[in-house]
Amino acid sequence: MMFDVEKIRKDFPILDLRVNGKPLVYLDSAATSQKPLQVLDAVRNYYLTSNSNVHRGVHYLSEQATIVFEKARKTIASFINANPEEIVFTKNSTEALNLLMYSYGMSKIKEGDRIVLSEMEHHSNIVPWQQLAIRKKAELSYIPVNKEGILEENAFSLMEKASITSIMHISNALGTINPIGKMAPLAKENSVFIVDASQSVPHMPIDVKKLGCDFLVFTGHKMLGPMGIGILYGKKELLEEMPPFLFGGEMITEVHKYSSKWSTPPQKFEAGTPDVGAVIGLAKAIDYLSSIGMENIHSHEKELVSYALETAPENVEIYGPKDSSKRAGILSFNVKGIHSHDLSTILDSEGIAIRAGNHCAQPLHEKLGLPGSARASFYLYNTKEEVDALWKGVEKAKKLFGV
Amino acid sequence: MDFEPLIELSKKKRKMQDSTHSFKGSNSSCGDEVTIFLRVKNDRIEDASFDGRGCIISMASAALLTEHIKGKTLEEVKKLTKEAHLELLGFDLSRNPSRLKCALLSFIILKENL
Ligand SMILES: Cc1ncc(COP(=O)(O)O)c(C=O)c1O
Repeated sequence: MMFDVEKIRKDFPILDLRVNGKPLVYLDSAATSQKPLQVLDAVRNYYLTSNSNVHRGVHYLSEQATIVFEKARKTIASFINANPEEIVFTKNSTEALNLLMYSYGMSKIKEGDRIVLSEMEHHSNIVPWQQLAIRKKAELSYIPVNKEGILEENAFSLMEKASITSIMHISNALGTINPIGKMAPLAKENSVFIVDASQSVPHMPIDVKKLGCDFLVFTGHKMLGPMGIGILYGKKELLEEMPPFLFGGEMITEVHKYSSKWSTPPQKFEAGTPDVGAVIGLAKAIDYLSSIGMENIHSHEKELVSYALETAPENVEIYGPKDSSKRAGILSFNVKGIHSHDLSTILDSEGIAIRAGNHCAQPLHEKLGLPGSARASFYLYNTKEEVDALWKGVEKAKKLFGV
Repeated sequence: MDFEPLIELSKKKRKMQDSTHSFKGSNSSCGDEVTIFLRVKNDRIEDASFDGRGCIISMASAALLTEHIKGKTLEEVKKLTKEAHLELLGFDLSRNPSRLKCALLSFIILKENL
């Protein structure tokens, strides 16, 4: 199939908005993506034709809701080459990581065990492990990041003594693509390797078997899906061993006054009524992405980033890998003499949406010695004209500030 | 938002050599830092200035606040409300609620320390 941006954009009516009298230029998909009509229609259609609680009733609608819900789980599983019983629904990536911390971490980690993260992690892949380390008196180590925003490979040996290693696949702050495939085999036996794929599953083909990870998390709202749905992938044998995270309905097979028995995974980890509409929406988003092709999406974004790098104005300092094969569709930068928040406000007056600040990666910004940065992030619906608009806005800000 | 007057204001940074008080604070989420310097005599603020680094809004609001409190008594300054401080700025942040914390940084530092 031909990759046709103009055709794709027609599926996203929000992109036709005018902001401050200018056409919206949405360059903040790393924060959350926009949603195509197909996804909105699927959610609406679910509520119009199948809404009911899942796994509970035996009446028509309840069976219908359960069927579409479990079909969605299959779609999501096959998208990352997993089995449906290895897919646990959570609220978002953050909740998936917390599930791992509370369930796997609290039951397995002992005093003196080592947890390895990297210095570029998102706060949601730092804070839960920090808490685990504090509660269990475990040791927390970080794989350092160098000036170019690349992990120091000679520190990968830290993993050899780790009980848990949790690393992001693509940095939301720098766009760096980490060598997950190279790292996974370094995890010792009886330890687990967790991948935060929040920024990679939406943008490139992902195969959990090829990556070689034990767990992988991602979040639906960054991949054209609704907010409120996240995914935890876990190897079946690990999910089977792990204790439940939340207790209540849905996650039990038997409840007596003084004891209960748990369901098998994934239901064991899905207490309470799930956001069925969001699950349906995510499955539709995956159908949409698949029909365009993840390879095509990845190359389109790479093209936009290369173009942005080539055309960046003077005095724009760009962070992250120079080698474009190590970089995804994320571009973080600062304009000398302009605070990133001010730049963002000026660009906003031109209709351009970027992110400014530390992008939930304060330790990374501290390491790089930056108070913050501006970030433009691209998705399948962005165009070269929008990159031009970004740099034109930056030129305008430079003139205003006299830099 | 009209940036030009703010850019001028934000350049008025001045460290005070003979201050009697200096209060420092920051917004950890964005890294903005402000120090407010006061020279107080007989409970009256003879001179006030600021220094720091950060966005135009946090710097300009520190400039306006320190200008405003010059010559006032400490009692008068303690009575200054958040609303009055924001009014000094004279621009509308209602459409930019995320920038409110920038505008309030110097005010909060002053209030917490007086
Ligand atoms: C790399 C990374 N990890 C985790 C998250 C957290 O995602 P969520 O807020 O949906 O839990 C994000 C996005 O904010 C992210 O970019």
